[in-house]
Amino acid sequence: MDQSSSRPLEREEIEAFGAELDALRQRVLGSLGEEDARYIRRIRSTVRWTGLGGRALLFASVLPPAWVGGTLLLGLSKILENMELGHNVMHGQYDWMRDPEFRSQSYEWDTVCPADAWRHSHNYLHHTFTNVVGRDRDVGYGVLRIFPEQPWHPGFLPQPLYAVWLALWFEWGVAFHDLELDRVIRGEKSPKQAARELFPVLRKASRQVAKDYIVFPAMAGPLFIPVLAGNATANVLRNVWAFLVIFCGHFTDGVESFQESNLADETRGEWYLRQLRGSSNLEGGPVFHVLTGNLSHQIEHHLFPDVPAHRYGQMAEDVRRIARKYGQHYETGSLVRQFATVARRILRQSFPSRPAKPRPAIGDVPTLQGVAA
Amino acid sequence: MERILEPRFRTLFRVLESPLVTRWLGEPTFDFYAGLVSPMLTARRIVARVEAIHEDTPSVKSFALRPNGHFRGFRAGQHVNVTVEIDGVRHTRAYSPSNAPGARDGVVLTVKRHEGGRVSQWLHDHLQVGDVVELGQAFGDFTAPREPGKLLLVAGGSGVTPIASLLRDVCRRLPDPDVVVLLYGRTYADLIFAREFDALAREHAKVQVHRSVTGEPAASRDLSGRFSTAHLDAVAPDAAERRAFVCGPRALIDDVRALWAERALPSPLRTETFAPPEAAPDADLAPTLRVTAARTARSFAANTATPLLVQAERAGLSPASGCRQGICFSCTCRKKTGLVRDLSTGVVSSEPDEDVRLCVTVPLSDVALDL
Repeated sequence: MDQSSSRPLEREEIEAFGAELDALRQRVLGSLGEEDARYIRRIRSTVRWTGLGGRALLFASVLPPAWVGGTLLLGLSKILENMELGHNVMHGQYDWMRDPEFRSQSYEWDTVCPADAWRHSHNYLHHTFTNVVGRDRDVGYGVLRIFPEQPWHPGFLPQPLYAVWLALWFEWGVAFHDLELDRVIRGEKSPKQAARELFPVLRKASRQVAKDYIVFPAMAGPLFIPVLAGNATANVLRNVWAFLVIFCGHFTDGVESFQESNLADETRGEWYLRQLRGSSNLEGGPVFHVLTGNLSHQIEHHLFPDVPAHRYGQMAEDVRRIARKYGQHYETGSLVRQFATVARRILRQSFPSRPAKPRPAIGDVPTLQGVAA
Repeated sequence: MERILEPRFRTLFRVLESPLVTRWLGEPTFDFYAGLVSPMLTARRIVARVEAIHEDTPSVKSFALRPNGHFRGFRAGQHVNVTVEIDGVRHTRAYSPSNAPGARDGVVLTVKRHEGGRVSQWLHDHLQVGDVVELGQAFGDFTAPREPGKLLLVAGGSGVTPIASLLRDVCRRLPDPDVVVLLYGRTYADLIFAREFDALAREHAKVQVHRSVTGEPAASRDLSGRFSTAHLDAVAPDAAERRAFVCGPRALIDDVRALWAERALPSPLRTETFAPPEAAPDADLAPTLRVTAARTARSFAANTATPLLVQAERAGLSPASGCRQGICFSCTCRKKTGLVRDLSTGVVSSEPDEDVRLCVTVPLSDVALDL
């Protein structure tokens, strides 16, 4: 099922493939300027105005339509802030502006997960070891079995329920996922270390809880409960949306998973190839792309994590062309179709399964591996 | 509204600077909403409005700036960092105010248009009255004590700006200032402020202004050519008694220093130059450079071929790091000064206060990092 439909490449081809992508990256980086600065500031302003508008409407929520409108607007603000602003800024996509407001190392976002923890678990672990089972902690978030290479145990049987639970509380899943509690349970990480890392998470979490569930509801006085409910609903809307987009990025049918052996002596070209094969795009209109933080262009994002995401759409044409030229599969589809394959995978992998057969590794390693086997 | 945002009205700004705003509301959030009231109302950032622009010579303009209440003022001879955004990218340059410090006058920056100087050209071509730029607090120790005694001020080219501030400051504060000013320029047109200085000389008996041009014939009453022993003897035979300030190109500084050493002059000498760091040859592997980790106050010898991350770790520092191949930005660090090359892009950066990824950046000159 996740057998690659991509042609194995010779070493020289891989490096040529990488060189073409490098050239594309340089071309876009060289053209960054005022337009891009204006774009991210417009997103920032939209986040602020929708947030302000949403909270103001919730304060007027004696009228039910105001509650619905306020909740949706606040949810929209949080989605935009997390996906198109926070996620992308923290990748360093706007560091070239040298504006402290959009600086990757100091940005803090509107979610439970502290930015520092995110920069480690996402920017470093996930983007460097994308879809490498055992290294990329985004594979199942430490609770789900996504690929047959993950050993099965009966605890995975109810995992479709875990998945629904994770979707609803996704921001908490993300916040705790960097603590690696599963590794603490298995004795691979000291509880002391985890406790040390827990502190910033709790500090950030209490801030978020205080903001959405105490301060703003209290400011609304008699409307404490409707405002609290609106804020909670907005957070859940954002959680489910982020879960959908992120799970469609790497766990659809057409993507591959990798083993740690793939990482040994990996070249720049091989890294590019793994990113292409391990990621999957979503199709939709311009508004859809912005709402996903342009993670609908997951392939481009993984090839060029530090290029401003609103450029991915335009880069996608070149990436597709390059992929076709080298006989590489370019996985894309609508959100509904792609999520259906993710849902099927979560169901299927809750039961025991075995990897189909040793899949060819990237590059000219397959022949070597074949001999070894 | 505008009036209470000025430095005279400090209380409001001290309240804003307290952790109250930055910790609980967040600085960008405050600045966004406050900016709707006035761009001068900020939580911490020093911003200044351009009040007037004066063309001193065809290639020199003075910009009169009115900073907001976060600005703590400056002393004559100090610098101020100015940050402007050009094509989406913020650029910072240090300029010396050319006016005397005083609560009412704000900051006057005198900027010479440099060929290839992105910021100076942008300031000349784009900055308008009413625009807002960002400033830093004043810094630098090219300053005189409150009772400076007898002074010798030597300026070369656009190095005249802090000299102008020092001269105007003593002329305003002291009843009978005793100052010898020596101005150098390629042509008479390059001698910025010469006329204003002459006016000060007419008002104050012991203020003398001398000029010298190096690139065209000098008038009979003036000196000619580069700084020399003869110049000093002609205008300030009592140099040993004068506190001296020199600002200008590297060559002028070297000449003056050499003379001071040769004559073993006892009087204090302060110098200032605006020369960029020199680049070392590219393939030089020997650790010939010095990298300073400003935050930990440590430094180590470095070569020009190995990424800064590796060299810093070898030196026992532990900067944040991740993928070590330029992907994850975990090692992003503020470079305060120095020349570096980004190995992934090939771009050489010489500007102060730029973010670099240590794992793919090599130093080309001495470098100071915010580590």
